[in-house]
Amino acid sequence: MKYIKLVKFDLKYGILKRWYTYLLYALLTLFACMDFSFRLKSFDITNFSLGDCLFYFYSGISEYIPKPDEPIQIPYLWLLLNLLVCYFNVHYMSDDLSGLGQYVICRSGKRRNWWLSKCLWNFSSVLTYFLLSILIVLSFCTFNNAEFSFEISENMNLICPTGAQQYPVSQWNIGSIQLLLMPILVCTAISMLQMFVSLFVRPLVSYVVSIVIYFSSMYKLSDLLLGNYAMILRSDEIATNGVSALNGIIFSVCLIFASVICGLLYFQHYNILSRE
Amino acid sequence: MKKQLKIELKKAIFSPYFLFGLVMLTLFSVLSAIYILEKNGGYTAAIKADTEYAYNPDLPLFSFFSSWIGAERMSLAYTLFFNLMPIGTALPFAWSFCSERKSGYIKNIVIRDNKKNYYKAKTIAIFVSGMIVVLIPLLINILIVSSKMPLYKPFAGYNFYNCVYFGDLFADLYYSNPGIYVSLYVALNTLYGGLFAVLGAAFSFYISNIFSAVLLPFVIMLILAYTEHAFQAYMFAGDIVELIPTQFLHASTLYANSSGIVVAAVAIIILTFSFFTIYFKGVKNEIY
Repeated sequence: MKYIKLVKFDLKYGILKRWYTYLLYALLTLFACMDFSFRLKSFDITNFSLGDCLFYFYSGISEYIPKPDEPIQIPYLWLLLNLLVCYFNVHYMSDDLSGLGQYVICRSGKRRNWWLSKCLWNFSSVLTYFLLSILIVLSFCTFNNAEFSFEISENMNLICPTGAQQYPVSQWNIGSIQLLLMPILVCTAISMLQMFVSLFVRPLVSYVVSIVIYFSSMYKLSDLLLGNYAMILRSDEIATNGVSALNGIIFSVCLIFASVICGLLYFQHYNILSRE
Repeated sequence: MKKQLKIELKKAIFSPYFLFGLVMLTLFSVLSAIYILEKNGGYTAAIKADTEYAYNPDLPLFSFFSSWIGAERMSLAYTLFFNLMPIGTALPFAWSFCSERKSGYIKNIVIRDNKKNYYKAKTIAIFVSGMIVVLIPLLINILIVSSKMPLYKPFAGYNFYNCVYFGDLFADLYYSNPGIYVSLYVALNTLYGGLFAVLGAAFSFYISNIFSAVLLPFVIMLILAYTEHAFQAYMFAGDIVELIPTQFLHASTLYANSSGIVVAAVAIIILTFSFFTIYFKGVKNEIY
């Protein structure tokens, strides 16, 4: 069985047949757009840009310094947009491997192709969720006559409740890399890691690993916690002690490749029959 | 029924998923205790040595009652404990509930016993296992923290620092009899542990995928928390009441005040939904 056939199968059953998950994600994005619009109205702001909306979605939280009377302001929207993608992607590979996948591997004769096809599906799936989200944001911006630029408006730091107020917008130097590339790249890397971990433990446990990575990133500003790179407010273009986008790109790409290659090597000798 | 319940309880307690849920939540509770002892534990030594710190009027702020996992508001561990509680509790038995229906095990049980009895025993076992998974980590945390932190009675004048405000759930008990306050919150958390477990089992009737069903209570809590925060932005701060279990189960206020009516109403909603789902979808439906 050719590699392209496996890819076609995964795109059909992993994306097209699971259209409802994309619909749910789209609905969440739409709700977030409405929330953004109401928030603008409550601050009497009429003009906004595409960048403002994306900033609202992926701003995350500024560095948290623990204080007894100040609990962390969990950035639920940022968390939800990332963890929902991981939730929808967590069981597809495992389900396939414990079902039809075993026959497909036997027919194709090459385990390598099956694993690489799953990696490609994972990447495409994350990309589809984010593209869908961006498409909705674009439609929302068109509908509201927003400016199509990545410029952040002056009052955006007031609208985001998770610590943006301490940084004056005039000093921000963020663009498409922080607003678009980093959230997609980081989510892909974590989703890929999650799929790799699913080879050793149950998908449920691998999802818990993803949750712990995202929650830890909220608490600790560190180059080693990947979630930091997906939060715009943790970027070194905003916070002086923030994380660099370049480091984030290198870290995410390395993690993606490491997950693909290690998964490939491990899967060559993996006992597929022992899975329930 | 008794025999069935005994079997189900035995299966629940000796399942590896029960152990995973228990270890996960215990790990977070121990990490929370370690964090808080590192931060505030020095006061106990100062009190014992009778140094000037022993006469610090702020000492009630650094007592056990503001340091156990239900009251501390600084560590990552407490956030993970409360947010992952729906997974930790649903995991042990909701899992076996789903797989027993899928594998056909239930068919073998039903021909030997009453279907109603099976579901009754199973639901009770799920509830009990969920309760145990929450209770043990909480008790371990209380044991560790209370062994090192002084048991100063909270001072009502410091309510803004303790974050148990007047009008909060059991707030008067916190300042008059904090021991009972902690016990009541432990009981509340334990009860909700059972409810989360039953909720996970109920979801498995609607979603065929086991992973999705077990993880769904967590995802729903996250969606509800976001929705609540989105709406809270347009409300007057005094009118806001905490509606999300993973947040109102924390004994000191996190974002909004907790109300006894809301806590009871949410418990009744979860219980009713789970009971009707298990009864109508499980007991009433044909298993073959």
